[in-house]
Amino acid sequence: MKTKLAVLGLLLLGGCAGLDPAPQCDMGLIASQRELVPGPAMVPGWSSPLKEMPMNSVSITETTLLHKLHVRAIDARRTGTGTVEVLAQVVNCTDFPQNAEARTQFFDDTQVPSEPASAWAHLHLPPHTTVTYQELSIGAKSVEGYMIEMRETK
Amino acid sequence: MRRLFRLSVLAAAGLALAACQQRVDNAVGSPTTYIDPATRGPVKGVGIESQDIIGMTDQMMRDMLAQPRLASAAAAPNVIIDSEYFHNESSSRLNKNSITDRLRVSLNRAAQGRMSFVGRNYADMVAKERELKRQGVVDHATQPGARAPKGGDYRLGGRITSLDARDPKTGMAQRYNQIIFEMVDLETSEIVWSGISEFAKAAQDDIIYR
Amino acid sequence: MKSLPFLLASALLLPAAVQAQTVGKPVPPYQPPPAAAAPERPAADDSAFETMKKPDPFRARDDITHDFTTAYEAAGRPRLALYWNRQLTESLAQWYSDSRTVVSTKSGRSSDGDFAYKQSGNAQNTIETQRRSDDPPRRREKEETWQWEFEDGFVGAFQQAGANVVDRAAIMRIMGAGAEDFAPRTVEVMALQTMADLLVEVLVADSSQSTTGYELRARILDVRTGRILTTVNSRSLREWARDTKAITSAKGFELPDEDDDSFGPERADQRYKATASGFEKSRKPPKLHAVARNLAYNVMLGLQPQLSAVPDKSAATPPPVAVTPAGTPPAAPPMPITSKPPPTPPNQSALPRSGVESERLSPPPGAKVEEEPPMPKPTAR
Repeated sequence: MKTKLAVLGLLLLGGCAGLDPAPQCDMGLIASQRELVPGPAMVPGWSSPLKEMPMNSVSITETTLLHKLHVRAIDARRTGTGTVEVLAQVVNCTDFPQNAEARTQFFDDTQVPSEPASAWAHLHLPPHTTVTYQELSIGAKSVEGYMIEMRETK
Repeated sequence: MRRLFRLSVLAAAGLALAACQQRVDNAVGSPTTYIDPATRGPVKGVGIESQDIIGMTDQMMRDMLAQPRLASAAAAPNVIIDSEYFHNESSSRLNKNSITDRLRVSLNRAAQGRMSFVGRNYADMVAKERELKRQGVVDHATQPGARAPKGGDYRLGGRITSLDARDPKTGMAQRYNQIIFEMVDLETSEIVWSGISEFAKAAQDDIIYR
Repeated sequence: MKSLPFLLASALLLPAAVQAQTVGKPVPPYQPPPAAAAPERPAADDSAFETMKKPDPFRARDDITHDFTTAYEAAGRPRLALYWNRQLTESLAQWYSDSRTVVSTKSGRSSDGDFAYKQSGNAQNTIETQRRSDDPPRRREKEETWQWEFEDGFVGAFQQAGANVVDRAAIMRIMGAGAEDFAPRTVEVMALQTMADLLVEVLVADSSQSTTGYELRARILDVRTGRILTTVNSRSLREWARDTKAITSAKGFELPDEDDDSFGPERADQRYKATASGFEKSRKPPKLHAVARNLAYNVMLGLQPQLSAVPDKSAATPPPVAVTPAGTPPAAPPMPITSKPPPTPPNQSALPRSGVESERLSPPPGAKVEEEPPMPKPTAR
């Protein structure tokens, strides 16, 4: 009897649930699927004590944003002069506007920074919208990888 | 048995201590007067601030380097980047040279021969030395002489404008800042590249910019 | 066997897990971009820059000098008397009176008594004050050094062309030597008649509309006939004309105002000065020396077609001057320049033939001849 009542209650609860705006982010899945990779080893053969985001990804550096934003896609392409343009689509998963800022560090083929990191660029993210962060490299031939860092604007 | 238990406790305590020591000391750093110029400082108003200048010049520099006519021309173009034609029509009080100088320096360092930079603001300095060499007051130095100082292919122009609003009840001030950068062909006045940086700020603090 | 579904599920989920990591695409391999070609322009060669160089209109013009020399030589090298900032006046009198002072004295006296004496008297004195005419031909002076520079430029151009230029003061002094009783204007005409063929009158006037602050006017007169051979006005000179093309400004291109009558020479070489903020255009007018030289060139150009009309000096020598003012007819001119009288003296002179003025006209019948008070002697200037 109790089981029947519980099932009925759940059904009623499901029927009352409203339609939430998309996109919706499954933060549990995002967290579970995040896998840090070891950083470059200081001594050959030794494992690095550093665990970091893999190359060509977005690293959200603050926990306050980590559970609010989701990076939907990252793209990289060459411009007409051979420099690299990275584009990261960032989704605001919350019902509130968020302010973030991001910068990009470009690396050469040995994973050494090929140039100074870019300046922080502001991103204003209205609720449940996607904003594209775009950055251009200074170098052309020297750029083989990139890392985007994102933090909350204060 | 009791001895074994004590040893186990001690080992566990030691391990725990070691584990504690290896954790990141996640505490605030020592206070300093130095602050990151690329980040908002403790004094923040609605005007153009250091992080804005760094941000906009970095953005423009990277954007120019992606423009084929400027950055991958068959012959590196001669560009003039100074504040002569960069006008401040905004209500922000700032030295516009801080924008154009940073842009020129960062672009010159980044260009690595893709562009050639003309120091037009040093015209009198160059003219004086050329005259001294040609009058024989000083020798010819090591570099071969040039027929004339470099002319410019492109020159930076631009404008800073703003829109102010203030709530008299709360004293809240808001300012929209718009900064445009343009590279102009000095033969045809064609604008070969444009960039814009715009942002709005709102603050209640009574900040004085000097 | 039970682990097979699990493995299959893992294999399916693995790509999804990697994608969820949001690792972006790798940077595409670098390919050297094609070099951006220079923009196509109609005149992309150096000739596009050469056309910008306008010749300086105030430069030395050897071509004009040469042509003038040829015409001048053909005309018999007429002598040019330079009248610098001095206008030839029509006034003949040196003295004038614009006031008259009358002093009247009236006295009366009467006596009564045993014998009566009645006397009355009346006297009237008239005093007329005569003034020397202001020197109207003499105009407002410019600075002395300004005049030097101008004369150097103007006379220098004529001298370079081999012209025979004489100075007004010099010929007047030469002509007036020993004839101090003559009115200066008489001496002046005598000097012009005997020691010059053409009168070059150069006037300067202050002008706020001119970029130089002054305007110039030059006239060439034939001293024998008074004929105006040429006039040159700086306002009508091409070199002084304002550039009516649109001028560039911070707002774009601007056309000059229609009611703007300003004019004046500007440096054609568009000289730029190197300053701390780049090169700045200096809009200074050309040097006075160059302006004066340019005026001389324009006078030469205007004079060239007229020079053929001037009689060759070797063929027709100007008539001897025999100006004999009334009262003191000199026996001979103080310094006869031409010893040989003309074979047939045509009345080409601006002055009447000798003897005409010296003969006093007989008064009309019945007219009362009154003796005029003698003219006071002019003070030497």
